[in-house]
Amino acid sequence: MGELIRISNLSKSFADTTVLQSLDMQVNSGEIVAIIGSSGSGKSTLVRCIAGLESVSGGEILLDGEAVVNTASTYGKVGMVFQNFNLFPHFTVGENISKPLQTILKMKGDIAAEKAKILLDKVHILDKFEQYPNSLSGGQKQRLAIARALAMEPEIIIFDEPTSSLDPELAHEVFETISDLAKEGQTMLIVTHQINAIRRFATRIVFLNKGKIEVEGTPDYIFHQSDNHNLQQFLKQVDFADI
Amino acid sequence: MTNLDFTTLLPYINLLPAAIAITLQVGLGGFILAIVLAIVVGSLRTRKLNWVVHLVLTAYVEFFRGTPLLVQLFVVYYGLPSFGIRIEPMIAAIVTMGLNSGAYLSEVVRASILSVDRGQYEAAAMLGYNSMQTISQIILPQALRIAVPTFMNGFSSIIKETSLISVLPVIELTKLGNQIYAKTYHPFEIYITMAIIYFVMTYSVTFLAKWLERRLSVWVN
Repeated sequence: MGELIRISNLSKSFADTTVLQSLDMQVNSGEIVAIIGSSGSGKSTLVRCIAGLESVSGGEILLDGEAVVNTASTYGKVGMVFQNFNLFPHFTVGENISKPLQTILKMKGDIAAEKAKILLDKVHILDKFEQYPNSLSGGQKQRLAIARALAMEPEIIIFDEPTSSLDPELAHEVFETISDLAKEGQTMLIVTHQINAIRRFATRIVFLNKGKIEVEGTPDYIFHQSDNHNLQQFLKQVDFADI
Repeated sequence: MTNLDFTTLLPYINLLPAAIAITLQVGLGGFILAIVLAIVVGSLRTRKLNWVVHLVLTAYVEFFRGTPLLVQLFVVYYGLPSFGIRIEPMIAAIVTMGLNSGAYLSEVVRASILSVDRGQYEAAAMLGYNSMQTISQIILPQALRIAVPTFMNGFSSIIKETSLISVLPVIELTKLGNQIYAKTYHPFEIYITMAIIYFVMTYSVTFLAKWLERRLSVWVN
């Protein structure tokens, strides 16, 4: 498992508010790293910095050995699945996948459409190919967003709270899709509050608190062995119900 | 009370198609120019620009929004020849109407672009779209759908405002009315007929706008 991401001494501030401070972390190919922590702990900011969507205030992020400075430096390597899906509403379900392939990878229309069909089949919404995203359920929208990210064949897919706007039943659909990707060895970084869902397939869990990594380890270590007080408090607060 | 006599218009009815054609040509020509200007200027004004470009675009929008169309027509057709620039009356009419309407509609485009969710830019960037591809393929199609009703209102306005070009040597609908009036002295019959023709043209645009809006709304939540 080669090193894919190395984060050294990362800090990020918005005006006078420090969100991330002196953070070190690494992600290897094939890993499924879940980032947990209470609201405001800096989880989303961390993954947005890794994706190049936020500039860093200090330190550095290396992706495949090259510094991440903006989205252009992560293009082709990082795929992103957002909390609010951010699908393109004016494209059909099929076009949400095929249009970027045509525009960015200069793929021919019929080949791009064929690839879109394969990916939509993989996330079980092939029957929605001709429809617009507004006709999809929340879970289907997020699965389309996953298929769109997969289409660009990124080395890592970042999920920024992919199920927090979904009810439990729909969140379950999305986690099943993520679980399928985990079985295929896709490298993933997942920010989530739904820790019971990810403990099944995460290879490592990182607990962020006040912009710093407070604990990290295997799911077994996080849930059963660590005696970190803040982690214990956090685990008590989150919903343990299986989804 | 004067007896109404619409038959006095009959000898001139054969002149109507040409006047209507000119009205539509100026209206449509001005509108197409206005759309192009609105998209270019409106899109540019949502971005961080070199201060000179910013100043030029702001000056254009504010000048054409802050002065009467009639005065603008005088400046373009009667004023520019003082600098050796002579423009055909039809071209002067189309250019002035386009510049005037483009200034208003550029603000509509700008507001529509700003109303598109920030997440659309981020999703496009993560897929590898550059800023030009993002604006043309992702943002503008969504922004223009929002702008369509106002654009179609703009088209109706241009059709009505073509009556102002009667001050130029162009025989459009209002000018034709003035000429018939000078010969017949039946102002009510003439101008009410002209008003009805304008109404039919602008009301047709309303139907077109609704059809267009329906067509473009299939993907709206």
